[in-house]
Amino acid sequence: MDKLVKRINLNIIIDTIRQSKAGQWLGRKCLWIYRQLAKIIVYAYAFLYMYTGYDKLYHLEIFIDGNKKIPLIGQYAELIGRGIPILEILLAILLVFSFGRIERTTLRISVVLMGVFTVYLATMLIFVPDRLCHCGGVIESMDWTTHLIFNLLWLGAGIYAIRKLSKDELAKARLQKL
Amino acid sequence: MKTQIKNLVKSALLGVAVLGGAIAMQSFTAKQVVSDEVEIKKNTALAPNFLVNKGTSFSPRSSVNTSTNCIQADSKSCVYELTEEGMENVPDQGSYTPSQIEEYESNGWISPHPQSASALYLN
Repeated sequence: MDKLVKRINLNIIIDTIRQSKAGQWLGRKCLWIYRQLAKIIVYAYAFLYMYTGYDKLYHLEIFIDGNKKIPLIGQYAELIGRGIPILEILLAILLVFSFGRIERTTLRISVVLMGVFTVYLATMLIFVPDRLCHCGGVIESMDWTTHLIFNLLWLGAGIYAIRKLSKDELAKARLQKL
Repeated sequence: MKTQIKNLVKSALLGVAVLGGAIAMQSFTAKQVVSDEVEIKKNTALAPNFLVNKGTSFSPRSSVNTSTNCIQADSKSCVYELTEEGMENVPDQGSYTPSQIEEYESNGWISPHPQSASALYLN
């Protein structure tokens, strides 16, 4: 009986909040965020890639020197050292200033790149005791497990955004046919 | 048509703001690191302030996180700090051998970080 009373009270409180102006405003904003989540993720990717890409270019010598010490890819240090920051900045610009199919393709490439970084992190975490990370800016100060979780979250968000954008595009196409 | 142009301008402005924000944030964090370094030491041969234990060698670092990275036990200290004398004398190298570290420590150029135990540095 007590539980039932508590539940009813809780429902009354929720209804009151819902019917209040502030509650309605909050609800509208939450709905807007949910609808725009894919776009928010795209912009977040652009921000992240611009930040890390610019940071790598800013510390280019250190980044190339660090790459030279990584087993297997050390011989391509110069190419990777210059290529990755340029690719990141290019992706950031394309993510922000493109629409439709180009936007989705750019997002796919961005997510694949994030996947490559995640695989690199996981490999280092499992196999290499003398680990190296020149990931750019504050991200470098994370410990390896946190960094891996951080990357996995980005990867998940990216995959969600790709699916959501594709679904939205399909729905739009269907509407146009009608 | 008017709404489309309006939306296009809006998203372009938002894009510029996002990318500009990222660059501004990078510049801010980079400046902070540089000013921290300048505060700690002025006339130094080696740019970073710390030497971290990587097992077979020691690597220079500008900043360290001892609580998360010094967890795997080892015979040597996890992080060494450069002393004022060390800032003028330790040569700028990509890595240092354990014997070099012993030499620098006996010269008083480096000292174990107060918050680091004997461990490997995991980053």
